[in-house]
Amino acid sequence: MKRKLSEEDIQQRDKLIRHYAEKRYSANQIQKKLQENGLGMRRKELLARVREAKGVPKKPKPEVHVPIKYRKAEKKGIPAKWIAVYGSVDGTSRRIELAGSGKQLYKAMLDVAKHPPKKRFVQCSATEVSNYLDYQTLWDERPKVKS
Amino acid sequence: MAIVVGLSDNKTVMCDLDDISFKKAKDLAFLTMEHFKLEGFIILKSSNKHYHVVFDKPKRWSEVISIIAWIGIIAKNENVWKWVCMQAIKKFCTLRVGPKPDGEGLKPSPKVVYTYGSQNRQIKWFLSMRRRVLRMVKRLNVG
Repeated sequence: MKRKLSEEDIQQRDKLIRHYAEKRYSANQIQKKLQENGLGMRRKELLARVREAKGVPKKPKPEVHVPIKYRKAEKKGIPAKWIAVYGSVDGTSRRIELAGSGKQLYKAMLDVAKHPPKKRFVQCSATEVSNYLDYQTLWDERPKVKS
Repeated sequence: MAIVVGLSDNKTVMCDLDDISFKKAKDLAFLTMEHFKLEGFIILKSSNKHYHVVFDKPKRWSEVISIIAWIGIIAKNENVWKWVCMQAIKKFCTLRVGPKPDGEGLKPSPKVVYTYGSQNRQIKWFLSMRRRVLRMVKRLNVG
């Protein structure tokens, strides 16, 4: 069973760590010495103290040294969803591909359902769709297009 | 109805099989899945003798285009070749999700008719997006 260390023990332990670190002992050797005196501690905490005592600078990108499977998933904003909307204008096919969140896509679709894009093929974010639409033209009523 | 709505992706292996029987579409899907270790697939019926196949394992675009070109060669079907060429030009694979005008009538949105193997990755994405898009199309009354 673990013994709870007193304040004096903790101070003594810190002193020992600094002493051995100055003598350039490795973390494993320091841990052994501490355990011999009944002052052992968690390796993670010991390593932090040893680094502090030895004056080792922190690595600039610590996440690079974590194995990929243990890395926390990075948030890269809203996942892109591509919706292709196609039809024809005067018999010529036009297509627009939209990316964005569900709400953004719905808002964009309100316009895209009525007006075709200016160019034959457009790929854009759902939020910028108004820049690419030809508001003077309407889609053909019955398009003859292929996917 | 003025527009057709589809789903586009360049990491999902999907294929539009036109003028092909269900048995041939199924055999082709099995063959492709085993040859490229794609783990699972679904077949959607677009209309009579027209099927869509979506595979579960994500691939890079260069692999996707190589796989669908392989399907085109194995299928020996001109419509599939045309479809593959169109996707290669766009650099995206697109499959129709909403309804589409056909002559005087209307082709309904494709329905899932067969599933096999793993369904947790690209198929899950495809089906959830399909549901959302169909809901959107219904609300906007464009399909």
